[in-house]
Amino acid sequence: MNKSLNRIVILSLGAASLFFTGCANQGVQNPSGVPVTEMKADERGFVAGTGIESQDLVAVTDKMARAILGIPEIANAKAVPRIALDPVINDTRFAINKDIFNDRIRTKLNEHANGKVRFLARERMKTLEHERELKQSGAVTASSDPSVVEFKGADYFLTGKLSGMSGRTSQGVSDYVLYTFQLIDARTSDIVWEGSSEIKKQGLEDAAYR
Amino acid sequence: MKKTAFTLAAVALALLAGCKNPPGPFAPQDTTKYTLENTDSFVLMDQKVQYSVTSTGIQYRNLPDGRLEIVANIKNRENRRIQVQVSCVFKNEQSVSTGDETPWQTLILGENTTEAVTFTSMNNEARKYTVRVRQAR
Repeated sequence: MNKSLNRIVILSLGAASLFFTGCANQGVQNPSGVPVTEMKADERGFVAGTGIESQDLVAVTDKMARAILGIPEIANAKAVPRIALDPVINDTRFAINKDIFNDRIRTKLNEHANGKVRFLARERMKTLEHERELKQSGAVTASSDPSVVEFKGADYFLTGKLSGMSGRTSQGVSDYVLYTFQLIDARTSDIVWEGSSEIKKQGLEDAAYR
Repeated sequence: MKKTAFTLAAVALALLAGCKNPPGPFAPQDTTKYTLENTDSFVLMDQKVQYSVTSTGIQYRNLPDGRLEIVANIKNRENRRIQVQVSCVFKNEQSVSTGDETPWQTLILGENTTEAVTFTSMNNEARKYTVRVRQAR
């Protein structure tokens, strides 16, 4: 009898401890099902290569946007300077979407600079010209005289260049990328500001860009 | 024997009943503790960083256009190369973020080296700041 009582006691204790283990609060459970992890753009993440990645883009564009606001031509401007974007030159071996650099600098400045600079929508000129023609022809209404040219000219051009240097040995791959950005006076061609950032990475894996 | 078994079962059931989560909502935990990030200008995000990194001084100034510039001296306390990440959150007078937050940027510190890291706010809304350091990831 004593033997079976002991067995019951041991079994009960075992069952209770198992239940209590399950009772421990585990906190928030992340979504499961699809094996995809959402990352912050400035995180390196677990899929990393030696090439240009989102965290580089975020760090470089953030630095450039803040630097542009500090130059006297922008900080002390009497009228709000107009900036047009000129495509970035990609001189690296990485086939990336280079326009994303200018886009992010523009977005950061528009979001946070409280109107210290204005960007010109040169990419949308066809649409804008078509709208003006419609107004001139009287097909649509106009709040001002449509024959007067009101499209603003650029005071400055923002552009940049990505230059790369790569190496490969039996130990792995090495990539150095120099990011340079310039603000060019549209009237005089003076480079009124230049900012740079350099990132070197070494690793075993080379990233493939899609 | 039967009595003992019943007693044990009853005790187990009673305890398990206490395990059931009460219905929400709940008040957040630690609302008055561990809030250094709200009050301090330099914080280290975990104990390993606290062991390896310190700040030897932070300077700040208002630029002529009203923006806030921070220069933080960050020192490696160890005799080995370490890699951390730093970020700065710009805040208003009430210590609430203005929405201007620098991305986490990698900082490589040589043996016992001190590096000066500069952060500049994007607008004149910043009055306070918090420089944060974490392990590189």
